[in-house]
Amino acid sequence: MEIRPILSSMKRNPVAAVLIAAQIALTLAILANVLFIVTERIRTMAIASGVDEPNVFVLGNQNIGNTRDPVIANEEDIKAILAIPGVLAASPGFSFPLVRDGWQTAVTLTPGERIEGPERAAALYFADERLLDSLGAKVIEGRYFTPGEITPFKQGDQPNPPVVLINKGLAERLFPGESAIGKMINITGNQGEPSQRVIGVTEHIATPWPRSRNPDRVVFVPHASVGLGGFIVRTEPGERDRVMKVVEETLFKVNPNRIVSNIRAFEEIRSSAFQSDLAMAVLLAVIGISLLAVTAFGIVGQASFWVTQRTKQIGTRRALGARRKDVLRYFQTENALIALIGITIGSALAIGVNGWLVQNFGFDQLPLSWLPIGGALVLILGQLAVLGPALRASRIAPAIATRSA
Amino acid sequence: MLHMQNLRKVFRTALVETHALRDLTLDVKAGEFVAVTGPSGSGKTTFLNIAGLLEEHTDGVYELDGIDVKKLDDDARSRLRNEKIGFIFQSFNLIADLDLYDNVDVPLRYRGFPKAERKRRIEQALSRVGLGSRLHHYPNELSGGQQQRVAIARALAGEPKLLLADEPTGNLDTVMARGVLELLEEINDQGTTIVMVTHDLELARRARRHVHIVDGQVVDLAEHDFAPVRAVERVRAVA
Ligand SMILES: Nc1ncnc2c1ncn2[C@@H]1O[C@H](COP(=O)(O)OP(=O)(O)OP(=O)(O)O)[C@@H](O)[C@H]1O
Ligand SMILES: [Mg+2]
Repeated sequence: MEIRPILSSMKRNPVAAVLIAAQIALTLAILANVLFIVTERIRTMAIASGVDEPNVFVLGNQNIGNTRDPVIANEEDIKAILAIPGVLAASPGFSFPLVRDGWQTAVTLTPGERIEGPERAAALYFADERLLDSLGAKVIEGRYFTPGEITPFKQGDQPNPPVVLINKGLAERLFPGESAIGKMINITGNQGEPSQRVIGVTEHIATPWPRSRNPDRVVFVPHASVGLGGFIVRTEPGERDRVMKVVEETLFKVNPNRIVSNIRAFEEIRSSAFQSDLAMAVLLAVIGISLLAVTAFGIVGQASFWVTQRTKQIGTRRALGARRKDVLRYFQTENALIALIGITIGSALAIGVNGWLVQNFGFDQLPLSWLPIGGALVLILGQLAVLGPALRASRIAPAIATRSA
Repeated sequence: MLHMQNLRKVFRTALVETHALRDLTLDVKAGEFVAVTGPSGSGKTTFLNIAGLLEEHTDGVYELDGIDVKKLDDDARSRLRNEKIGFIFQSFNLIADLDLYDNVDVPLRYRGFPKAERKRRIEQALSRVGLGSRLHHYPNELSGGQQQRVAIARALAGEPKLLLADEPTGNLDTVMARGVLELLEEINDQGTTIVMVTHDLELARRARRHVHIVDGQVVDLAEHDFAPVRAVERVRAVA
């Protein structure tokens, strides 16, 4: 290949090549980070909630007028919802996966242990005897709460039950390589002796905060959150939409002194949880694509200029024995060399940009494997961009060598 | 070496048809030095381009070293140009961004010679034209005559059978022109066939054979033998 002569003639006329290489470097630096952020967002958006999403819906409920005892009112409401044909389970609850609202606590194993820091944080879900069923999740080890273990939980209470369930993510973090069943943990944040016995481990269930650093650490406490907000309902497959239509009427028949609000299919919870991620991903993708387009057009423009400028040289090369594909390859090689220079500088720059984002905005570290991926993308883009001008160059007639002044 | 029979070349544009060559018939034998003259627009460059496979002829027969070129595709023509023909252009056509070494290297790379072989040929060719000590100079650091010598070195490095030159001295002053011509004569003496288009009748007269083209046809095919004159002149030039 003609690498050395291409490089030495580039050295004689470096300005344009340097500008293109700089543009490629900048494109790569930004693109690698943009791609990384976009995929992170997409990964966040794809997080498994652990909920039987197609068959679950939620609704807000607020009793007004203080005429009913909240515990009894809850029992009556749940009974009425369960009586709707197609309903499999229903529980009171205002906090559940992806809803971005709920309780969080620190989980410790020994007295006096620090309670600060994200590694100790876990979400608290208030569970009645059916909550797990209402979410459509299962216990994978141990057992669920018995009805006798459930106590009502009202505004102002502090959760401090004798038994808890934890999800798989928390079990694996607290007791790696061993069973969590029977272990004592402290979920009160009082830095005292652990007083909660783990009686069961559930399969994966997400916290309400999908964008937190540890979105898979959950503690279930045996407290029915009566009168605190709403209900979670799971139906038989295909029945959800119908149940959603009649649930409000059903509850009003039990007692009209209430406000029912926000009857939402679980997918709505998911999409509103990730609205900003989606917007960010789309925005960044648009920026990334625009940047690629600008760079591609820059390459097309510069290569076209070079082809025009070197028309006589190309004719001469043809006269001296270059085949069309040799001319094509010349421009492709030249472009690849410039791109490789740009990619080398751009990789360093990408790490710098990411470091700045990590430091100032709490972004994640860009994995180094992204650089060859971004580099390959930029290289392919460059080759595509140069193809048109290079093909035009390859069609320059050899007679140009004698015909042009 | 070169056999042309009733060669025709028609340039067609949207409005006009130009008959650049009409039934041109010419044979050049191996080892000849042929000067081609003719008025401007008579078809000299067209003839040379067809001879050098830079353009295709419209009609007639052209055989280069026994090969009927009409049947060849573009790659084969490129290959043949590279192996059998050396070009010398009026305006030298050196690549300004490459040094002399790399300029002479251009056709050798297309030939696919290994690196050591190319190096040997480049150094030899540049020495032969008296520029062996300036391998890494750039064309713009040389005089016109020197640049044309580099172009000659580039044409010679591949050891072609046929050297085609279109007004090789057209951009040079008399002294430099004479130097270039002497170099060509020397090359011809060593066996390379040369066809040179020129406006300069003085130069043409020094060639062994003089072909005159008018209106796309060879009109005056005169065989001269100026060998004694040349010898005298060369002695004078050297002295
Ligand atoms: N690409 C082309 N398209 C159309 N006409 C052409 C083309 N090339 C050459 N011609 C025409 O063909 C004729 C012969 O041109 P050619 O260049 O061979 O002449 P020439 O003898 O080399 O002239 P000069 O001495 O001025 O270099 C001219 O009339 C020219 O205008
Ligand atoms: Mg001409």
